[in-house]
Amino acid sequence: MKVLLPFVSYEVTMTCNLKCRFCYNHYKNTGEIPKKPTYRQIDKTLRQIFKVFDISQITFTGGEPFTAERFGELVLTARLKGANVGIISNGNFAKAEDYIQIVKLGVKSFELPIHSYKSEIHDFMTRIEGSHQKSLSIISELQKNGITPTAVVVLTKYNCENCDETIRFIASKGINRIMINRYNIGGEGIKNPSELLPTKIQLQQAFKQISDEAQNLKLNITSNVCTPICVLNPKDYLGIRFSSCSFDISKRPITIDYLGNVRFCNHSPEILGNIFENSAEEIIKSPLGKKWAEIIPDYCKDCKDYSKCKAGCRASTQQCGLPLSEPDPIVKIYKNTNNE
Amino acid sequence: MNKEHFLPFVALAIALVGIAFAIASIAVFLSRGKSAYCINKKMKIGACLIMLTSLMSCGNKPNITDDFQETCYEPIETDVFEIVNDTISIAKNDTIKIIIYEPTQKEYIYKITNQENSIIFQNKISLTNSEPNYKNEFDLSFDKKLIPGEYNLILTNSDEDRIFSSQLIIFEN
Repeated sequence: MKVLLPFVSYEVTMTCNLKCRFCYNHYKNTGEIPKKPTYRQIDKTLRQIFKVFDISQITFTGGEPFTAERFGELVLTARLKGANVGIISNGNFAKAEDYIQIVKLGVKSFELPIHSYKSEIHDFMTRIEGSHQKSLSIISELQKNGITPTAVVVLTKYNCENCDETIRFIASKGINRIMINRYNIGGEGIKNPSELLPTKIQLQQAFKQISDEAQNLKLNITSNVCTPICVLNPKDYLGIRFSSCSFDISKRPITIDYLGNVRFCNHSPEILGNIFENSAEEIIKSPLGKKWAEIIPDYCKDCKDYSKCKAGCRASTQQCGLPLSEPDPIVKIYKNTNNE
Repeated sequence: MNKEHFLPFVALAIALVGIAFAIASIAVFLSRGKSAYCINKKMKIGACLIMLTSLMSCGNKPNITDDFQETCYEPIETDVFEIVNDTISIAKNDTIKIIIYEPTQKEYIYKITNQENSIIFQNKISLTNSEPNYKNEFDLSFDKKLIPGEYNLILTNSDEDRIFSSQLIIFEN
């Protein structure tokens, strides 16, 4: 019998054509350059995912998913299996017609980045000149085909000032769904967090600006990297819907890579099991997963908000090589450096 | 002609398109995925197949939902209402204690409707503190002229996109 897993993120490749300074992908932290997988391998894993799990929604991600060999056919397979499909793309690799081909398969959910209203800031963050313009161009093409993508803004030291301007810019493009993801320490971004991390006050001011704009312009803005409440308290930013880390696996978009390795989330480097080697039951009931719920960081033990906050992003804790008894590293960075 | 009359034709079309799809898939396989022409055909036929199967299963549009969860994590639920009283039966002059969790608005509404869903009492709940808390408790009082009986208590936010409803029995003191 299949195990119900409503949301799955599928990492079809680890290759990417951008060099984002903030990239959270855990393999960026290892120094290894992963080999580009073959279509056969990615397809085999995709079919195995549907074989062992009962899925209603699958999000294709990477790396840049369009760099995967015969990516369109992978999406087609998922759609023929009856799943809703979402695509997280940087808008910089594939041509507009490749996106439109996927739209024709009934895919409506696309996430593309707009990190700033200024091209030079966006391009500085992605380290590829012209990436801002390309992303905007794909967004425009999707809109012409009846799709309104979700704009993704990763908040770093470089773009948090005047981020209200960025929100207005995005709204002016006819986009009303925006994901605000604070820079999460990990992956490429682990090399020098101080280079990317805004101060606590900068981060709070940025969220306040964004929240105000969300209310003024009636935008649907979500904060999707779970953040400790002692850093950003959702009650201070009522225009933004905050998400939190759930210990209930069925409520998480469990992440599976093209090798079949299952992880707790896309930020976490810890492998719960492999869909070719372990049963779905074994993976879902993995003691590694239970640890997340059982271990409460000492720092958070007396905090009344722990049940909601759950110590922020502990995948980031893992990426920094810290045990789960430590909260999200951002907490102590802000505390120890008086980074306010 | 209603939907049921079309279904046999849709089923036939699915069978035909399914055969075409199988042929296109074999052609792609034989070309080892190198033929852009064959892949293109497979994609087009596949799109057609998805459209037809969607018609078959849900009536008139592809099975796509607008409510796609694009978040990484579980969203915190906002504007959640809870009635604290153990009973839904209160005396005429009593109040009823409610909690609003994670408010997103400054003002909420509570209504009493009768069994015919006609509003017979309505009042506002204002979050007076400038910084709303995660958990906000309120004592709701009702019109003392209300005739004892069975009612519905409805709690909504001001946009009325979050609605909570509960039975409420009011009796004489």
